[in-house]
Amino acid sequence: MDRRTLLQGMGAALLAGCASGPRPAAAPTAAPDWALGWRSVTADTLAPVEARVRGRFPDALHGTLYRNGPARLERAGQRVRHWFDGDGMVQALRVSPRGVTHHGRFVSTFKFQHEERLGHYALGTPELPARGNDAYNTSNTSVLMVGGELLALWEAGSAYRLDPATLETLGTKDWSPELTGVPFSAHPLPERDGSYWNFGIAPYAGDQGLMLLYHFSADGRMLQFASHPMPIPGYAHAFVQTERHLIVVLAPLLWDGKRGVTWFDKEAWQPELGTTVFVVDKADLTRVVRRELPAGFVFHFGHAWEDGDRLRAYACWYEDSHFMHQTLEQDSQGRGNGHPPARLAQLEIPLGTGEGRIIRSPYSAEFPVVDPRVPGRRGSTHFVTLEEEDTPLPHGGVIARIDVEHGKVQRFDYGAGIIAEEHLFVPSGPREGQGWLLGTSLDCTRGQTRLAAFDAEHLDDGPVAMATLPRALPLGFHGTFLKG
Amino acid sequence: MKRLIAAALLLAANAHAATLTLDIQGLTKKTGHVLIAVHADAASFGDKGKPVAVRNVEVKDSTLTVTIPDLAPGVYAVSLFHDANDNHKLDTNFIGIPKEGYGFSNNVGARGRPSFADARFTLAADGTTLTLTVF
Repeated sequence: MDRRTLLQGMGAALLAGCASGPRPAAAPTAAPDWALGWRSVTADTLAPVEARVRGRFPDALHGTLYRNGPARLERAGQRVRHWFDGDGMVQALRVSPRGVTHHGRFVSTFKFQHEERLGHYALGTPELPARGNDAYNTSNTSVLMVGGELLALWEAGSAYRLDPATLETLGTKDWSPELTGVPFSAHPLPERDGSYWNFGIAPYAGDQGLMLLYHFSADGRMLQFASHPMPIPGYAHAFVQTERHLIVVLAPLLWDGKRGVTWFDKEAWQPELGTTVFVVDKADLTRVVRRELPAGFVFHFGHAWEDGDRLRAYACWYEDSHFMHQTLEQDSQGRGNGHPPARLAQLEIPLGTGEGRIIRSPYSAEFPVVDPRVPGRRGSTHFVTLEEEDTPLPHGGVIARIDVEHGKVQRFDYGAGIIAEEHLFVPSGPREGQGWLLGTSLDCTRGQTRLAAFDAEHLDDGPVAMATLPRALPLGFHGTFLKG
Repeated sequence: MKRLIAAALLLAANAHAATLTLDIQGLTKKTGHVLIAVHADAASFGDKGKPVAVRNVEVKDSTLTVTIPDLAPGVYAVSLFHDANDNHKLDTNFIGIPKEGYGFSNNVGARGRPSFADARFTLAADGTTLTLTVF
């Protein structure tokens, strides 16, 4: 079967309403139910199910795609204030020669355990007193294999350790007695020797707030730890590395504990302060410099590299912090909520004097993924979810491969009614971006989550394989692929 | 004469003494001690002065009732922590967040150390009972 036949076959199966196999999800309706992406899972585990597979997943993708995201967003009629406040559930999508299966389990955090027991939100009330960051930990952002354990990552507290086979929660990852319950971002960066860098920000610590920097081994030992007073109590979700530097881009979204203002409050946005860039020397984490960029907001980064007297970094650049202040209803309205999506842009950061600048590409994109074999060097290929602004639909199902050096774009559109999620790159050949792309999408019309594989150099040919689950999972954020 | 003075002092003390009762809830470990301080001013509350009373009470259950008699009626704030491992200090992590239970009068301080003004209460002449939840 060639790919075009596969696509046609999939279309036919979809039109036929996918009658095969168990289908507890709602029957197809004419209009997409976009709110599916933010609907709560009310059981603490999702038992293993078989997916219906069309095409063939390549051997290189035999393994497990783990994904994390907020999956419990309301209790007893009360909805969470922000998407990021939902309780984290880890999904495991296993690809083997025998087929594709899915199972999922909530991370058994302090918050989840107790609010499950009580049946309603109670954290921070006398019914459920909360001490320290980990009391609020939803463990809902990403996953990473470290030392044989699957870490479920959040950003304002500990990672939780999970059994990668059963997804059972084993406890928090305590790097040392003094590093328990401290902010640890959901976006560790791999160094070429297999170790990882990470950062955390605690604007409420001490007089000026603390920026924490970590260097840890793949087997889960802390190699190096440093801390710095924060230059401003701004916000960063992820960071980026060049060969010699770690770069934390702090948006002018200011935490003010004295006034009770957190990063989720609109009044925290103070664009007149500009964006503060914190550049750390990897060889000596105590050596830092501070640089300026125009005001803006970033969740995620692509490639970054050293370019003589400056650093260059690709990022999905927002003009403001609106995403931090949106309700779930506004999230589900998507493009209809009036805020422009992030633009793939190059941040130019001088190491010497002078102001940096933002060089915007024509592409609106999120969830950037790059070839992990070129960390900190000048790479070109960015795999993204592409936001097309000329469509009347609130959400899009387009993924793209953007070659920023040559301005080439390959795209694939899953079609109307479908929301594309992060797609991960799995290398198979020596060229940058040669390999497979593996990712999920939510069909909001039929109520199904699907897993698809693409030849990463030929996205526009469509998927080489697609597995359709007999269930719809709420939208997640980030994942990791484990071979085997 | 000596006996008379002693009696007079006792009378005086009784005339001005009020009893503070603390019902402490939410202790998550049944080990160690709860260390309690009663402060009459902001300096003491901020560890820069001397509390008017301190108590060190063994923990055997998740709740605890402590009575502190002989306080002059007036304005106070209470701070406490649960020294579960009996190392005589409130253990904190690198960013200064307590790893052991703590609490304040008015149950303030869920997200950081409160001010004396936030934690202050009035001890009535005929005594006052506070319910304190340990974070």
